Amino acid sequence: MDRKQLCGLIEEALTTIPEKKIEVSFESKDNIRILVISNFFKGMNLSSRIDFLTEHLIDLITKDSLSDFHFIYNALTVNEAAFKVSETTEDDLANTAELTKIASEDRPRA
Amino acid sequence: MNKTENHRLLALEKLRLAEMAIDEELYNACIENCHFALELIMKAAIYKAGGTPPMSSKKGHDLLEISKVKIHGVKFLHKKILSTRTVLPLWLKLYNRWDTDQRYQYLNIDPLEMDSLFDAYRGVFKWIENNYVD
Repeated sequence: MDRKQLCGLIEEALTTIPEKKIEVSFESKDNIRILVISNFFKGMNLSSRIDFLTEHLIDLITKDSLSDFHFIYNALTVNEAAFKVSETTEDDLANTAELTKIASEDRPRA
Repeated sequence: MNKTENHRLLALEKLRLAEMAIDEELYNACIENCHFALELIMKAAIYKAGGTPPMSSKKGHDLLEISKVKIHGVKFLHKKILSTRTVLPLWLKLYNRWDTDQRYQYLNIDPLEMDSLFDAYRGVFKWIENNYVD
């Protein structure tokens, strides 16, 4: 299975996640890293995000043709990917909203 | 004492420390000891099956690398975990959630997530101990 086919299968397995960006990379000869970026993950803790991805990727991971590979994956929100903030809890989300507001107020007016 | 038994006893001590840490809500200490316990029980299983686990500082603490150790040409623990549908989600959760590079980073983890992560570590630990060490 080549990289393009693999990416297609991953996309297919994760169709239920709305408005997402998926990045797939080979970290070594047998490690496949999958990064999913979507605001669907807002307010979810990291373990719940991993559980969600596992639920949708497990049939792919256990395919005979991929059984020698190791899947490393991570799920981030758009703000987490762009600004290295955390949005895993309601408190985090309130902080991010406040930071976004401050940033927009500081922006010089044209 | 052989290497399998040595590693099994060390692993059980680390798991006990993890249990004490979660009871005291010391979650960072809990994860680190869970990881160490699992690393040791995986190494015990590899020794028992006639293999040699990685011992160098980086690879020796990397659960993924330990699972890749080949015995008779097959990635021993990786294949066993992959073929056990009840254990695979627990394994995927724990190695995707934490690695030893995070041990100097204070994680503000909530109690519910900690419970689920601890159950994952303990589940994989007990499965390996019962099936490949005892």
